[in-house]
Amino acid sequence: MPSIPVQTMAKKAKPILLGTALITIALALSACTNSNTATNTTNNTSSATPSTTHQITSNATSNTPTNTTSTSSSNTSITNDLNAIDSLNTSLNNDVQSSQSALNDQATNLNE
Amino acid sequence: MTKKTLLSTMLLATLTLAPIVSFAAVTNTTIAPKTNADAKTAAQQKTIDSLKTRATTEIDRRVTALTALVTKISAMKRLTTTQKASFAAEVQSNITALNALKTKIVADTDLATLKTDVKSIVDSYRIYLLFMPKIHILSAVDVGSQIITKFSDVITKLQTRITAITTEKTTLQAKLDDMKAKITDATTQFSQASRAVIALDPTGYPGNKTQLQAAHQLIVAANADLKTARQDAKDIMAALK
Repeated sequence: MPSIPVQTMAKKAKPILLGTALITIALALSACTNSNTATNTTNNTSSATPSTTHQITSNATSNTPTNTTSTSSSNTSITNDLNAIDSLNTSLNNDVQSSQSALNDQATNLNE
Repeated sequence: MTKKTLLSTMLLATLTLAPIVSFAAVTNTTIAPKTNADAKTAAQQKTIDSLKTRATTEIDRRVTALTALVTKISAMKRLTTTQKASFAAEVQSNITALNALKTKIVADTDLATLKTDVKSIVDSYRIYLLFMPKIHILSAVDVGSQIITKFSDVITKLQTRITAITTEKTTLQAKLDDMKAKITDATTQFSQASRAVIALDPTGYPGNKTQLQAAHQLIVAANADLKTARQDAKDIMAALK
């Protein structure tokens, strides 16, 4: 079997390498396309999910302040009522005290 | 006689005569001792002055208190216009009578008459003795009713809050139920106190004194119930926040 010179072999190998490179590039490109598709899919999915999530979050955000505001408003309203009660109670205490003093005064006067 | 001798004689004479002159002056001032009648008159005048001072002080105190009562009556929200006008007119009439009595007492010169007038401050002016506690009790009922109205609002608001919670619901509902019970008790007591005194008349005094005292005890009890209800509300609010 005649030996093939190395140089000849190199010459023959060039088209093979080129073909391999082309196939690799083609595969790479294909992979890229698939990857893009996947990305798009993911994007689509993620764009849909965040949209829903945002909506929920948005709803949750709007509900929470409403509840907090409602609770806070209720607290303020009750506190105002209780403050008014405290103020009136001072007046009531004065009347009870004055009634007691008047009855004591009666006793003093009757003893005169 | 030398100048020195003359000076000595004059000094001696001054020292000797001075006590005599002084004694004569004292003798002159005590020369007319008081009779028993004069002493009696002076003592009587002292009694009259003392009685007048005491009487005018007592009348002024009553007039001041009654004037404040007129203001209190006009500020009451739960009395009818007719009741307010009636009470105010009676109190005002008493103020006028007391001022007239004060003028008479100041002008009194006879001790017996003065004593009778002073006694009449108490005996004839029962309106003061009756109206002072009566109006204060009615005022307490008036203010108490306003407090109960406010508490009703608070109970409604707290009930809404307790219904919406999940934790401590039973405990807080029990507090609110206690609060409701106390408000109901206070409402009954204020109502009974008002009914007990509203028709009391000065002519019935002192026979109606026991009713005044009973009404006073009712407002004391109602006030205690309101304090407990206030504490319940405070506890509930502390748990809800």
